[in-house]
Amino acid sequence: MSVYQINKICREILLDLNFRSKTQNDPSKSISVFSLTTEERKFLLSGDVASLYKLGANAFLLQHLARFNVFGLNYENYNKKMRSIKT
Amino acid sequence: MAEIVAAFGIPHTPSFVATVAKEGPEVPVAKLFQSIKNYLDDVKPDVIVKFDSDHWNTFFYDNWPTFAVGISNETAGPIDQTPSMPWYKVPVDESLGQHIQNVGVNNGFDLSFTKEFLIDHSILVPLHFLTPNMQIPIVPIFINTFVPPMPSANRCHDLGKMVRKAIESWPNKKRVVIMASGSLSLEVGGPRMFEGKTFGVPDPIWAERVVKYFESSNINELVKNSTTEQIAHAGNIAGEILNFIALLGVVGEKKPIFLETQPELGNAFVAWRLDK
Repeated sequence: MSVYQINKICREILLDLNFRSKTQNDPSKSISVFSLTTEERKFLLSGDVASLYKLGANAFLLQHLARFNVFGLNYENYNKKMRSIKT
Repeated sequence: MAEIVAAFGIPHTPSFVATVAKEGPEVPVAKLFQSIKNYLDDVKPDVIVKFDSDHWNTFFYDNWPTFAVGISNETAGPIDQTPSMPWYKVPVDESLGQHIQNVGVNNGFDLSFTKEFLIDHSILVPLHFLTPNMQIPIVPIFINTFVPPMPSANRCHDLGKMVRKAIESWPNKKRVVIMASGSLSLEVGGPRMFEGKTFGVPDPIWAERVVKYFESSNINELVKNSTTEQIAHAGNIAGEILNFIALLGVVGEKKPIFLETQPELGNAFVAWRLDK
């Protein structure tokens, strides 16, 4: 499990404008430099934030993905996906 | 010696900046900050010490301190690109920061430090409204309020007491203000967000209780009840209460002279006068 790497990707989306635009344009290539499991890669590329959250990724950081519209996410679908998790 | 003249507990909700830019100074949140600003201006501070939650911007999991002091001449931000906020340069009081670290390490608080750092909305939203010219130097004291294991409420309260001792032994005739910011119950980006929003307030009853503790200056009860479980129940960002608890370690058992709330956001605006 590489939760650290997922959190790092989220943070780089916020802080690194170059990485952000690369990820917006070619997400698969952009994240290829991070050591992720096959499953994590699949969840990220499909914008499955609920599954990433269940793996232990940080929710505050995950929301950066919606703010900057990467991996098909926006605030609206992010809200629905995350709220589908039973607490 | 330096004198502690006032303390302020306020929110740092990032959207306030765009709201006030759009809707003007008559909007309720602008008036709340104006009330706090009036108290701040009244006490004529020379320096502001700020208990702060970095939101994974200044620090990250590669290097994450429990307590850290920013010791520098200058910082800048918002590193997290708060909508509608300009890029600010902010003076930092290096001498007071170094003094607080020295006193801390000599009194059982092994404070980390950073000498080159940028800051996020958690410091700059309050300063944007309170010291928009950024003329007053700050000393940030970062507390890990988000990443388990967080320091206990009791430990943060003791941190505040130590900081009080440090400031009062700082051999400079300066007027010092203490600030802390955050929400009392808040979930950002997690499953307990409100529908269609980016945040939620999972435990408004806890937020209300906290406000009562402020009102009655019942710090011991606040510290006792701010358990890890209670904080987790109040939201993934509710650890910001630890900033307020550190602030109360400085304030002591004084009653606030101003207290207003925004229950829909889990927020409180509180002011204490501490000058003699």
